[in-house]
Amino acid sequence: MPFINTSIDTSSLPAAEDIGLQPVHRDYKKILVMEWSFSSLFLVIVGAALVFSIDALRESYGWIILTASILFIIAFHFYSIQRSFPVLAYAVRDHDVAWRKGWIIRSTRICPFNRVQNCSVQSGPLERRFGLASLLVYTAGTEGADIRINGLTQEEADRLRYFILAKIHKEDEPA
Amino acid sequence: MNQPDWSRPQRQPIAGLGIVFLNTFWEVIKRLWPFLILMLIGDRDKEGVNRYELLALFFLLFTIISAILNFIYFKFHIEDDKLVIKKGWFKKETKVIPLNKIQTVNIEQGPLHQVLNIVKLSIDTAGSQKAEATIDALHKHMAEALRQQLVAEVPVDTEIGIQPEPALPLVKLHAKDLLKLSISANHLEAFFILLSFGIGLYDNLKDINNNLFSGMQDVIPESSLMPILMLMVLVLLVTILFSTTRIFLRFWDLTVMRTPTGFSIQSGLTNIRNRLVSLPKIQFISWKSNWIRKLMGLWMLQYHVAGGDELKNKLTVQVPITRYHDIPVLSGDYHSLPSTVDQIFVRMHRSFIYRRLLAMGILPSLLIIPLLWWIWNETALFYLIVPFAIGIIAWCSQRKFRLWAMDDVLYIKKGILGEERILMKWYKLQSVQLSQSIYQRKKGLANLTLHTAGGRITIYYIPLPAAYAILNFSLYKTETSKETWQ
Repeated sequence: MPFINTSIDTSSLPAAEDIGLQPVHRDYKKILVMEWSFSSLFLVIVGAALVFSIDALRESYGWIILTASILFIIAFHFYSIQRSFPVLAYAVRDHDVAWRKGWIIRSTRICPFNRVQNCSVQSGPLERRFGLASLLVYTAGTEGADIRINGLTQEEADRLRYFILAKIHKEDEPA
Repeated sequence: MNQPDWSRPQRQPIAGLGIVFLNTFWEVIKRLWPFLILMLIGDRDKEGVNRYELLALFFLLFTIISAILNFIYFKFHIEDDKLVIKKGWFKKETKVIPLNKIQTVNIEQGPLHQVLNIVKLSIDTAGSQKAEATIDALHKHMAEALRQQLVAEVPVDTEIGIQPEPALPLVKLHAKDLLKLSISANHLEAFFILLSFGIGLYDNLKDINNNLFSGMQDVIPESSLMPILMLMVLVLLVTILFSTTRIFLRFWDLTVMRTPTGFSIQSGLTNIRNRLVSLPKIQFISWKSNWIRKLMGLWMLQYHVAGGDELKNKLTVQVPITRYHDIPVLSGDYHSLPSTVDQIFVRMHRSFIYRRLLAMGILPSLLIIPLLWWIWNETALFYLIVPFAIGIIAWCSQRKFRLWAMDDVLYIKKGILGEERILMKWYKLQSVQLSQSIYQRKKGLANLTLHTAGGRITIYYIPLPAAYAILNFSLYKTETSKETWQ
């Protein structure tokens, strides 16, 4: 490739553009929808409370704007989940782990195993209901350097955690 | 004089009692301030006067005794590759810090320390934003010996105070240099912030001005331009004074020396700070210069060390440079400056200019100008300077940007009117992120962020194949390197 000044044949290096990313479990979408439904309910209640308590909102057109904004936010977020869910994907290669997310801004984050400080599996109450969990991979990098893979099955998350920790300890061992 | 036996618990020197007293005094005030306020504003009667004096005396006595007890109960030692600090008389506390978790050890002298001729030692561990532990008072040579023990694993039977040969400082700043730095500092930023406040207040001030100085209206010109100019000059002078004071206080007598494991950087006037920069902890190095400084040959070099939080100014390790040759001297131990002759480089795509202009210039203007028009009528059009400036800045940034991906290092040149350079060894990478907005996906462009333990480097609007090439290469280098990143 005409970008790197090196004698190494860069075309033979593992290519991130060709990673076979696998999507997360489809039940995770249900979790996202359920979580946002709770938040929406909360927003509606807050909005209603505001309209009932503040007279100025009721008299002017304020309450229309407020209602419209809240409805817009709720609808847009549901639409967002719809568009962004298919993007969620991950991959575990020989030497690193990759995670992709986002629809307005799509980003792929890759973390080499030999830079992983720690690895843990987390699952909230909703996730446990569906048998899903999240894998957290910590590095020594400053903010934003860690990876959080959501929507894995509990077994897959545990398996990956075991796999990654084994890789770290293998790095520590003398050759 | 041999090294003290660090395995036996040590106390701070007697001279430190003064420092401990001050700290204790401060702690007591923080806890008892409500009572103190009550004491001061409470009713005074004939008996009451004696009562308050007694209370004040009791308070003072309590502080002195507290300080002495804090002093007696503060002990520290090293055992089994761990630093152990025991402190507190009322609430006892034992702090254990493994030596391999210590990122850096700094030595400081506030004004009182300087008077008493002692220093304060503060220890930073990975990931925290403030010092993990501090020893408030130590003799300078003891502090330096302890620091070597904590960070560099110097063998115990080294004699302290005796160097292999008297080392010459690598860099030393004089008052003349600080003056040059002050004049060339980036006053513009502070200036515009203060100016915007000034203009905001201006309309209000004008009314007050007319009322107070109605007789002087013949002397002061009618046009609204003169007072604004005067305001601008005043604000400029204030910011220059402010920057100058800050620079002198921070960089007074700056001296960079070589140590067994890296550099020591000492500077300060009222507060003298001595930072140890251990070579392996350096993640990447950058040096920059605004357009005035570039003309004067001044640069500001920054070591981005592991655990350093870029946002907290205190933890950034910055060294002002007065000669360009000093840069290879200070960065050479990390990595030599690569030659860019006949080397392939990557550039920022031109659409960066339009997108920046749109997102940060034009779109906000569509909202802000109508708002300003409602307040200030025609003067609101002055705001058009902002998107115009943003466009110019984006254009300069895009033109200047160069990225060289070398065999060992990433080397970047960037800037607007001045210049900034970044040098990073590939294997210092912690994780890498490639992101694309909807627009970028259509145009085959991407942003790339390289995360290190000392901060992140973000590259904007480069061609997607280049972004992937750099990503793949940086990962390959990190994954196959035998070197540790710290």
